Amino acid sequence: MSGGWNTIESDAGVFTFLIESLGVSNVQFEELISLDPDSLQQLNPIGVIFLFKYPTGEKPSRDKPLDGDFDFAAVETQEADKNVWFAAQTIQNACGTQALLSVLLNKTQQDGEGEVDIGPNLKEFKDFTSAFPADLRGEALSNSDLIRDVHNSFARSSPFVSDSSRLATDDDDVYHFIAYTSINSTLYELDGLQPAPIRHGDAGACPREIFADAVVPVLQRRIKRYPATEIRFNLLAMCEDLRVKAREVGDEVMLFREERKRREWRWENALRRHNFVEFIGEVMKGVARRKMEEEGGFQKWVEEGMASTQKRMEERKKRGQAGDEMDVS
Amino acid sequence: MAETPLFTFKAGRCDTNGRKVLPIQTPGYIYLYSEDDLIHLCWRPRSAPAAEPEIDLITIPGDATFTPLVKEAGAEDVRSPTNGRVFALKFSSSGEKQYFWMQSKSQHKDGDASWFSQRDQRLGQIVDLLLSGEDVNVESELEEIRRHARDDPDDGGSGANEDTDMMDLDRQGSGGAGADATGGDPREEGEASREGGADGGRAAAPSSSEHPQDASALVQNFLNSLGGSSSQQQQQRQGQQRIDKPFTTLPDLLTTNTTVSYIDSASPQQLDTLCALLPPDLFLLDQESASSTEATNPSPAAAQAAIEALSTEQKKDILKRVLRSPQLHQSLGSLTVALRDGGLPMIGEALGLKVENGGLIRGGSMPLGGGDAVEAFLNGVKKTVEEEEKEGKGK
Repeated sequence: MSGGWNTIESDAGVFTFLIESLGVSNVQFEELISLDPDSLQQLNPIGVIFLFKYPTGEKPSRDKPLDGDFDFAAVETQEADKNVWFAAQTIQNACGTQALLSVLLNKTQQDGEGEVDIGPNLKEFKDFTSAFPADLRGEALSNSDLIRDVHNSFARSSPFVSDSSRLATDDDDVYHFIAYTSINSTLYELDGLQPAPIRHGDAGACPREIFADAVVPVLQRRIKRYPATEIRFNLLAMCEDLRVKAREVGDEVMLFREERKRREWRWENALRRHNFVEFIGEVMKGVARRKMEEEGGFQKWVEEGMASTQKRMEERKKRGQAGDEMDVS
Repeated sequence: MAETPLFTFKAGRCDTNGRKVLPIQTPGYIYLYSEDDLIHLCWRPRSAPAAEPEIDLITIPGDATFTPLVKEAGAEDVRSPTNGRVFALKFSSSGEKQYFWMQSKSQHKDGDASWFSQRDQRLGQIVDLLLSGEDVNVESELEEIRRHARDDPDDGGSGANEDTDMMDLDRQGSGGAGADATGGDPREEGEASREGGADGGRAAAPSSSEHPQDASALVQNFLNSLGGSSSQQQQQRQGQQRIDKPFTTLPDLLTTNTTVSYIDSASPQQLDTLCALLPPDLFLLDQESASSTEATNPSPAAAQAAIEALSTEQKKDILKRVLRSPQLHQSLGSLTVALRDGGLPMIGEALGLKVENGGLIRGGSMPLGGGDAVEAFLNGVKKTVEEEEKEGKGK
C-alpha cells in the first residue's frame, strides 16, 4: 500500500472542488435538504451520493441485497459500452471519493445529454482499469497517487484531533458513501462494500430523464431500514454547474446566488487547506500582549481558560460521558 | 462460518458504562477466522455451538488493533486498571472500541487477576498480529509460549496449570475479573484517533510551505509523524499523561470573544502581520467581481497587493471571520494535541518562542507532555512578548 488516506468532510464545496482538481469540468454538488422528486428533478441530477453512518453490525450481504438485485453481468460484460465501472472498496477513508468516481467514470460514453467531461486524468484512469475486475479496480484507486493526493489535500486541517475534541462535524469518519445513478438507462446503486452494482427496477427502465423520480422511493426505502433515532444521513446531488445553467437561461438571481455560494466554498476550502500554526502563534502573542497590559491580566486570562476547561469536563461527567480536557463537544 | 478458526482463547465480553468497563460474566471464547481477505473477530459463549457467534466483527486487515488496557504504560509490570485483564479492540477507521477480558486463570504468583503474564501478553499479540493481516503461524507461536513457560517457571508461576488453561476447551477456570469486579476506566486522555492508513498524514499543503524550514511545515510534519506511530505507542504516550493536571486548551484560551476584541484593538501593523499568515486566496476573493470565481494560484506579489488594497476595516473583517471559523478551531484543537504529545520543543522553536528549557523535562531529554506542555507553551509566549516589549518590537 502506497500511502494513507485521510478523512474528508461530506460537504458539497469539498466534493465540487475535489473533482475539479481531478480535472472534471462543469460538475458540482448540491446538498439535498428534502427528499422530494420535484426539487431533485430541478437539478437535473447526474447522480446522487447518499451518506449514512455505517451500522457496524450490518454484514455485507452475500447472496441478495436487501433491496434490488446484484448485477454481476454488468461489471463482467466485455461489451465496452455496456460495461459498468465498479470498484470494490479497499480503504475506509477513501469511500467518499470512491463514490464520486463510481458515478463519474460511468458518464463518459453517453451521447449528448448526460455525458460528463471527466478530464484527461480520470479518462486515463478509467482506460487503465477498464479490463480489471472490481477488486483490482479498487486496488488501483487506492494506489493512485493522483487521486489520493487530491483527496488528502481536502482533508480536515487537523487529522489528529482526538475523537472527543472534534468541533465542526463529528462522526464523519464513520460515514459510508454510496452512489446512485442511471447507467445504460438502468438505475444502479454503487456501493464498494457490496460484491456488485445493485440494479433497482428493470434494465432499461430508468433513462436519465426519470432518474430523479425513480431514485427517491429507493432512497426512502433505504432510509426506512434504520430506526429514525439512530441513523444520520446526508444526500448530495451531483449535477451540472449551476452557474452555467443560470447563464444559459438568463436567470440573474440564480447566477448571483450560485456565484456567492462558490465564493463561500473557495473561502472554506482555503481555510481547510491552510496550516494555521504560525497564525495561531501570532494571535497568541498578540492576545498575551494585550492581557499583560493590565496588572495580573495574563494570569486572569489563563485562569479563565482553566475554568472553562474544568467546567466542560464536569459537564461531560454529568452527562455520563468519558472526558478529558480535549473534549469540546 | 465456513472457515476453521485461526486462533481461539478464553475471553469474556465487557460493557462500557460511561467511563467504566464492566465485564460480563458469561464464559466464552474469542476466536478469529479469515474469509475473503477480511478477518473476523468473533465471540461466543462457551456453551454455544462454534458456528453461531454472538459477536462477529468483520475487520479489514490493519484496521483493528487488540491491545492490553494498561494502568501504567511502559511500566515493567503490565496491569489493567481494573481487577481483571482487559483488552481493548480498537478500529482506527471508525474510532470504535470494544473491550474483552481474559478468562484464563491468572498466572500471577499471588493471584493478582489484573496482571498480564508473558503468556497473556503474547496471546494478545497473536490476536493483534492476525488483525493486522500478518500471516501468523499460530501453532509455532503457541509452541513458543509453552516452551517459554516450561523454561521459566517464574513467569506467572503456575506452570503446571498453564498448559491446561490455554486453548483448553473443557476446563472451567473463570479467572480474571471475579464476581465483584468493579470495572476500570478505559478512557484514554487526548488519544488521537488514527484516521486513514497507518502512515496516513495530511499531504503537505501545496500552498503553505515553499520553504521546508517553514514553521508550519515543521509542525505539520510532526503531526504527520504522530499519525505514523503505532496506536500502541500513542496509547502508551497518552497513558503516561493520564495522571497529570488538565490545565487548559488553546480553544479555551483563544475564544472568539477574546480574539475578536483583540482584533478590534490591534494596530495596523499587527493586522498586516496577521494577514500575511493567512491563505492569500481569502483576500483575492474579497476583491474579485461577482463573475470570476475560478480558483487561482496567486503569486505572493499578487497576494501582497491584494492585502495592501484593503482598508483596515476590511482586514479586521476577514481576520474576525477566520477567527470564528470551524477550520481555525479545529486547528487550535490539533495544535493543543500536538503540544501535549511532545511537540512543544519543536513548535516552540519553529515559532521562535522562549520556552523554558527548550520544552524539555527539567533534567531530562524528554519533551514535556500533557497539560505541563501547554503551560510551558503559554509561559514561552509570555516571555517572548516581554522580551519583544523590551526591545521595542511588536507595537
